[in-house]
Amino acid sequence: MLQQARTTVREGATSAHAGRIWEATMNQRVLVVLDPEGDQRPLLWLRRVLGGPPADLHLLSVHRPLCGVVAGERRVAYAHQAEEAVRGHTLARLSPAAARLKDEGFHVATEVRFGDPGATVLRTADELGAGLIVLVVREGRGWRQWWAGRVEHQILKRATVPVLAVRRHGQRAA
Amino acid sequence: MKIKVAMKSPVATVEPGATAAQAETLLAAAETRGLPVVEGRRLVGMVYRRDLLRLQPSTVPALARYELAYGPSRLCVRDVMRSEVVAVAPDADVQEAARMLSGREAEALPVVDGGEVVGLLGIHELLTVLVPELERRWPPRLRRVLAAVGTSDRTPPALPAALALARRHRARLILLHVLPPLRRGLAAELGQDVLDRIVDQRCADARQWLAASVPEGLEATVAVTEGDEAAEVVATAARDAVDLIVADAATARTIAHEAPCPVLAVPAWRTTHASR
Repeated sequence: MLQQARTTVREGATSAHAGRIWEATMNQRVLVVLDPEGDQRPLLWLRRVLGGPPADLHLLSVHRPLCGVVAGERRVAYAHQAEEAVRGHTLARLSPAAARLKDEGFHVATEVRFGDPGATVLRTADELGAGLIVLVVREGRGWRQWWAGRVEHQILKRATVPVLAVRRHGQRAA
Repeated sequence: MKIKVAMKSPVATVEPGATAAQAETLLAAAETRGLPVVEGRRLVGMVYRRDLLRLQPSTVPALARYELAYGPSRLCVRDVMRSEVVAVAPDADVQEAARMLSGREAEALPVVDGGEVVGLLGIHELLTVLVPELERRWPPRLRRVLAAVGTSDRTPPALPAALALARRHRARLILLHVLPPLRRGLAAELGQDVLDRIVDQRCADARQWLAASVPEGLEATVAVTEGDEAAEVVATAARDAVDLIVADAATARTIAHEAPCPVLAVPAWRTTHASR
């Protein structure tokens, strides 16, 4: 497994020098976590922050593990079949955005993973050696807010690379 | 750029004798805003989505009863189509089509070559080619970057990242340092004059330290304030209409859900000693 790219700065380095290190690391490989609804807002902001290609973009959609589909007492689909269906559907939704980014000169890969969202995002960033994670911050009320916030806090707290957090609502367009 | 590069082709067409309901189904399947109406191969009109929407019965039940006779399934395309249609040639420039679309109610223009409909150029197709062109001319960039420089230590991780971004985007950098408020009751112990001097000294120290961190040639504003860090950062970002907040991970966690712009959370960096 590749080690996550953690920026190391020598003691005594100036802010300008450290800045150049950050800049170089952030621009190499970016993990973009797209929510299942396929909100494109983080991509618009990412393009604005990066200022354009070249960068390797890895578009990731994380779903919770499925338990299969049961109708009455019969199992209609096993977990892996249900996951394949969701994977196909999600990849189809991501493909127009990926095609657009490819046209603009980015290297783009799309992936769908199943598992605990926070841990999966951090593990994927680790495996890819991502220099930047882009994340949608979801809003809601009550337990939904608490649950969504928990995942995002986990990523923001444990990530060892910069995280660009974009709110789904309440922010102006990129 | 020529229209033939940007147009949608092949394009679905409808005959004048078809019902409006059929045209509506075709429009939904073709995912376009308009359908060319053809007789044989000759273009005789255009039917647009907004025209078909007007045919829907009223939502008031008493009125809808009288409108059923004129519903989409009873009316023919020839009854609702627009006969005065302006078509464009495939070799014309997209600018010409954009000008025509901007001045008309039409949402899509038929592309005709030798009397035959070969494509359709709608607002969507037009924007698909014009947006990259606009972005090439005016690349998207950050105009104002706010660096929330924390109070915890004097080597804030957000500062280098913010400097790098501001330099790359030629953005105005706002360096904000929020000092934690002094203990309550201190004014009674020390006296207000002494306290004011302490506060002024703290602000001056912080301002001097931050100003020294800004390299030459960068447009930067240094702001030092006292209070709750998260609230001050959010308020400054909203007031100065910044495009990006750069903050350390701990601050970012507290402001990510209420910030008026995206937040770049920078983790604490790992320091190595040159001697090792």
